[in-house]
Amino acid sequence: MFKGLSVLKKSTLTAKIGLVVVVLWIICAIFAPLLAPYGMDEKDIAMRLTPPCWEDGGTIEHILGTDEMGRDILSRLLYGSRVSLIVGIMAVVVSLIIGTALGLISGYFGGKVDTVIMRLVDVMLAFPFIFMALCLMAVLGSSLTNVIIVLGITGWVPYTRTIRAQTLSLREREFVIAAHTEGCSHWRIIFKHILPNVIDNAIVQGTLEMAGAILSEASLTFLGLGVPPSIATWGGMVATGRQYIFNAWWLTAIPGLFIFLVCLSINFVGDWIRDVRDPRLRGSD
Amino acid sequence: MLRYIIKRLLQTVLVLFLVVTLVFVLMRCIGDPTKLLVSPEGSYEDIENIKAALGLDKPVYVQYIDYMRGIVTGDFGSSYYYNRPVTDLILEHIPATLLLAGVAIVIAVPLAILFGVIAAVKRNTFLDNIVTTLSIAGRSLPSFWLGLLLVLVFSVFWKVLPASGYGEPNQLIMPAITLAAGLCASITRFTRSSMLEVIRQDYMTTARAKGVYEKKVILHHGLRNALLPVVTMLGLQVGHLLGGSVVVESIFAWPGIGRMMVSAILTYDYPLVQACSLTMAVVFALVNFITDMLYTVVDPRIRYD
Repeated sequence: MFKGLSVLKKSTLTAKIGLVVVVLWIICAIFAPLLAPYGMDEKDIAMRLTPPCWEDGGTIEHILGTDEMGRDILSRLLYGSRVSLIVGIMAVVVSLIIGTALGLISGYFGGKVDTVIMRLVDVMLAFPFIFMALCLMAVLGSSLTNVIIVLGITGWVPYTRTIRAQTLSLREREFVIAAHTEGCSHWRIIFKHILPNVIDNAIVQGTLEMAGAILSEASLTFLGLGVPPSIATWGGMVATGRQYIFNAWWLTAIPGLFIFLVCLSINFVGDWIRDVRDPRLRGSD
Repeated sequence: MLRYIIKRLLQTVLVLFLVVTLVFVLMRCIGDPTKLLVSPEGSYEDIENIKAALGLDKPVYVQYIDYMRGIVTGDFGSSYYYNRPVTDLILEHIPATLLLAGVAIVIAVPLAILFGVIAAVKRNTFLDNIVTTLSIAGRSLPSFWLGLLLVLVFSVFWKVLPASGYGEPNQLIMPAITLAAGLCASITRFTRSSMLEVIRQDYMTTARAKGVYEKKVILHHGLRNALLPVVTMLGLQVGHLLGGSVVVESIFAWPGIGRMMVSAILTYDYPLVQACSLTMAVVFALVNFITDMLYTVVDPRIRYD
């Protein structure tokens, strides 16, 4: 713990800012009902399209203004942070599990299995991600769970590629060969000897992919095939705001800013963690 | 070399075959288009007639064989919604998408290489920090938000650019910038790390020891070698670019393949979705095939035997 703190002290400015924003984001998501001044769907038609408090006509009661139905933007943003947090974590967990499993199998067994999995990777790469996600969402119907499933099963490729590469080299190492001669089964070698050596890289990669998952969820919801409009989401708020872009700028600008800041902060923190773990990778992709 | 080309071509064909099959499976899972085509008062017979007309009454494997036969012979069928041959629709919409993607590449790549090289040469300076931070920012930017912000600033507040449309050069500016931003960020990052790798090499020191000007060392000895992986990276980025165009075209009402595909998915227009995705996959596969081939030309050390 103390070691962690001293590492934090030496961290870059961007990492510190990122960490603060990420922590605030998580707090907002957990305590949204307590922090939000109004309910998620509390409508006040008389106050519809009130601008933020610093603009002419804004009131302090609605700090960030209200939307086309008179709902408080700040409250909806706070509730929306829950969706991005859940999707960010869960989608990464699902694709991390799929990607790690396929990478381990591909790298360890090689041969035909490897060829099949690598061709599958090619197919995934040849297919514009957003299109596959749109198709799957159309199949499954829009819901929060389905967004997580779809992002999970379309996002495993990067993990598979790194895990496979690492497994290929670990497979030839002495400790693996020793385990073999001792009569360990393939699965035992994979789970007890190889997995522990590759998992932390996958998790670091996962932190970086989390920003991507949040962006993808927002894009899908924006296009109308993600989280249904009955739940407050940042992407959905931008989508409705788009219809009022000529008379209410805050409806698009503010929720988008939240998406941007959270993704930026996750990327700052993820990059910093990677640099601390392996300074040779600094600035590489 | 010839053997490698043939092998690579066969691989490309295999991947395309798998993509086509996957699209078929996905589309058949989505749902039944006949419900949308028959009016709510339509009888059961009407539905059956339309099914028969569209060939949807046949068993799935027969539909699959027909579908594959159509693709091989270049017949992609007719769009359910537009009631026109899909090939015509694709040919009508592809120039807009290619124009948008092309302009985005022309904007993004030179800038990205310039930024990447500067950041690598001035490593760990203020300039490098700015470039690196900006490239992370570019990666975190939701493209739909960037597009709408541009609309807010240039169309709503300043009223200098049209908010959407296609045809005039000034209507191309905002969509192209929106699409270019993410691309520029990732190529900058990649060029920087590739250049950092090259700067450490012995031949760079040798060149300097020979008394070559620093500028020439960086551009001739450094950049040339650093650009090799960037070329491959660019090929892979085409996939992201095509995906990004779906969102960008939707925002700016750009009449390209991406926007057509979204509406085709929403109207269960099987033949159109199949053709759109196949077009995208073919473009992507071709670009990557060409990048692989270019690689051997750019780098004479690589020989695929």
